[in-house]
Amino acid sequence: MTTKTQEPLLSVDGLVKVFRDGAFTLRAVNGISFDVYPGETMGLVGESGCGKTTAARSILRLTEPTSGHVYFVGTDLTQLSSREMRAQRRDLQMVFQDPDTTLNPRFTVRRTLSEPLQLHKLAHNGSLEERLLQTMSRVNLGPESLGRYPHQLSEGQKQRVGLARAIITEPKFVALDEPTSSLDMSIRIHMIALLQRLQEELGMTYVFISHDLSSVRALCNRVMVMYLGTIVESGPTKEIFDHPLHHYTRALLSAIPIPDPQVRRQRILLEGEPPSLFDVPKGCAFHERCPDAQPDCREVRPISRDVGDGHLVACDRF
Amino acid sequence: MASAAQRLRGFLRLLREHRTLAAGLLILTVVILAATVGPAFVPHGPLKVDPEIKLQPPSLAHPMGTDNFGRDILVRVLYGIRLDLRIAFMVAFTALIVGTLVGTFSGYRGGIIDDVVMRFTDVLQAFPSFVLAMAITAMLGNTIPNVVIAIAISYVPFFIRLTRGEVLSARELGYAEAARCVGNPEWRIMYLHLLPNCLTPALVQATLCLGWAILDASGLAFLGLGVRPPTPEGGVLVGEGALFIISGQWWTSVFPGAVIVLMAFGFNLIGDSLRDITAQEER
Amino acid sequence: MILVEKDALLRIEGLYVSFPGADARVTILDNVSFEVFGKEIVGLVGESGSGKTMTSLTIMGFLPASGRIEGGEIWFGHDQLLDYTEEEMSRVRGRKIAMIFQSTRSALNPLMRVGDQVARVYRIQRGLGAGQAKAEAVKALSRMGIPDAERRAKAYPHQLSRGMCQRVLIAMMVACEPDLLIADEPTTGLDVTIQAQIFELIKDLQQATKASILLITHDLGVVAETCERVVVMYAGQVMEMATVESLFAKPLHPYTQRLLSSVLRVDRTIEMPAVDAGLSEDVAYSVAGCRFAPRCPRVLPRCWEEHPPREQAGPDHWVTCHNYK
Repeated sequence: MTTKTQEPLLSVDGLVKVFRDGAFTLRAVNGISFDVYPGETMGLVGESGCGKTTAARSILRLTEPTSGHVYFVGTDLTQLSSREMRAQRRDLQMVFQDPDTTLNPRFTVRRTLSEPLQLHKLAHNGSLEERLLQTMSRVNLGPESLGRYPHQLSEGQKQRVGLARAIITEPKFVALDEPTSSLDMSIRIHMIALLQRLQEELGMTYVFISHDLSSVRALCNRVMVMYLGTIVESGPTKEIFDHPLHHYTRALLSAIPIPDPQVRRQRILLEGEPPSLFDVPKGCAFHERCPDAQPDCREVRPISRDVGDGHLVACDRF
Repeated sequence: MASAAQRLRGFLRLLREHRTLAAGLLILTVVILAATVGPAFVPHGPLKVDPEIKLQPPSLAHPMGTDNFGRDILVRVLYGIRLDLRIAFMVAFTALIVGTLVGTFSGYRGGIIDDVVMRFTDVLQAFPSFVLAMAITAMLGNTIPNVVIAIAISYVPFFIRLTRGEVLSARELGYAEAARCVGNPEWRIMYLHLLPNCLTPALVQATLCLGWAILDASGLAFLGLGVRPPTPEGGVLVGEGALFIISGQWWTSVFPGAVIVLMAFGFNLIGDSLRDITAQEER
Repeated sequence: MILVEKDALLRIEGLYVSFPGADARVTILDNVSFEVFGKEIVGLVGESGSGKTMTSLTIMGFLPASGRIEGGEIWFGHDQLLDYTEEEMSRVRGRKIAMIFQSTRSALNPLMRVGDQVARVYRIQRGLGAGQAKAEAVKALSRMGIPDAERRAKAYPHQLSRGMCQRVLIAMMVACEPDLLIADEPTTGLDVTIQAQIFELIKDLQQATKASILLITHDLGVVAETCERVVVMYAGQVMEMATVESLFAKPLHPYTQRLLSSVLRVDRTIEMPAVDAGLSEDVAYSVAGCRFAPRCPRVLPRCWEEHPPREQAGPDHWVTCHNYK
């Protein structure tokens, strides 16, 4: 278990990402801050368009953040030159969402997996092959797949090649973007188990981005809930899932169907749909759909506060 | 991996399904074969002058007749095909290389660089490509390399636009992002990851350009702005022969003209069917 | 309660469908039998490749050209749908059986206002006049929980969110007043809060219209919360069929047991299994008998050769297994 006395591996401070296109301004990430400690798995949950993927891409500088800082083992990633950043990428990896497009269609699996090793000069003559085979077996793929092209692989195999590419340099930090969402239910649990095993073997730290809350519950020890570019609630997984405080978290959790007809819950149905990121409402981003919105919520953006045990909630009414 | 026999079978099936492709390939095989081995069977040189037999109609000794210097037209046509094909391939190759490299860069970088490149292609495309090529040869002087450069410049905008469009959609895909994430420098992302995946439309376009380039090169030569006489080249031959059409010696320009048309037709058939085939595969 | 005594709304019996494979034709649906009765919501669950979508396409007469029906019967009331001509089928579709597809936006005409698309259904299926149809369409859209329906009716599909488009589509299907509504993964790609809204809507509609719904899904949570009965499919075979309570309380087929034990839950932390590849179906199709045999922990020699019969194991609980006891 992680304790707060440790130094965080990754520390995000006031991260903002704004996309501008002509007259339009899209505030995808609207000032988020959090710490991730070595060896833990931080969940980042929210619905499509809440900015969770953009947040991860900004942290890894796959897109340049508009403002804010990202400290990785003390280094501010946002201040690095592109050459210095490239050198850091050995330790900062990401697994991408769509298995169909994540692999270069003209590269064999061997070439896809060798590339990171060659770029970071980690493979010396004989050791390359050994490293490839070791990584393939780590993600439960047979060596025969090395010579294949992506179109010759199944969906699940492509997913695992994408995972292999991310872990082959044995990074310290991996952002996992919806790695279970395209999988069938019975396979999800195996993906989670695989991720857990890899984490133990390689001592990696994860940020797990997903809208699939049951996978989040199974894998993460802490969770952040994102809504329209801001983090509305965060804390230890069990605490968030069993005692959600923010009205959005409550509605989100109650919307997930439970595979047990004996369990009957009161479902909180939200009115309407999330507003567009082009037009984030003033005050609390959630007030238009909140069942308990007060006049104040329309005006003042609530500040995140600690309600004990590292459980933070950005809401003045609960 | 497919064996050679399997590949051959696949290729034959492709030809059966796409008759136009088969027809185009057949035409060009015949033309290229004639141009490579043909001259060996004709006992005349392309520049051999013989005033005794000038302006002879087609006969067994001279199947396409002779011109006003008594040169054998068949052998001049065969040599002309060689030169036209050489020009066409150099044009298409140059335009393909320059166009895809610039197009990939422009599409990947976006922003001001992309704007500048696009406006530049707009300017080039504002001229009819043949007029542009005329202007460039007139400026550079009409040698064969200059003809190639002139025609290639007029085709480059097509390749830039095609490749740029492909790169614009491909750079949003996961593999481009993943390539950056594992630590690829920008040039590797552009030219090792994106370009090979965005090349198909440009390759099809290059095939079509082969046909156009033959027409343009001949056209320039006909107007006296391209390859100069007495070098045997399609347009030169038609130009020389055109003087004698009124006096009834039709063979002097009809045979060279027909061969130019045939080559251009062959390349267009191939290019069109390749476009259909690749469009089907995309779906 | 015994099945055969009730008159089924939809009865599928011994349905076989094959598709061309690499070498020979592959039997994609292998002896599929189940019933849907009046006024109920039945879940058809299985993982991708289990044949659940192919089953619904066969019912609708939308089988792709390369597919071939090798045998079986599909009874809708007293009509055998497999004997129908294309023209007769087109009269059944919409009026008696309607279907909501997975991909939402592409099912709507992008060049037509959504209100007009719903109104057209009223004109064609119910013979209403243009003005009346339009008014009905707006009413239908607002019944689907679309706020400001009057204004939204004038929108084009690309101006609406995917959740809204799915509501429009449901409005069109309900306008047909079908006896049976087939919903094939109707919330794929929608957010969970929107998914919850759509399923509440579907349940309310079922109460109001008394239509039966065949809900195709891979999500056991949705089944548990929405359906009354379940049909479980694996690799083109029906493994188990029961009421939701009975299936979740006492799954009998080894496949169902495995499926239920491997589902992640949001309300509690479950035990992690050892890492393996999951229940991939790639080897299953070559088995002559029960297709779960290659992965079954309780496999008997005859499972490989003989397809097990459908046995009644309890009130309204049927299982297709040689060794379930």
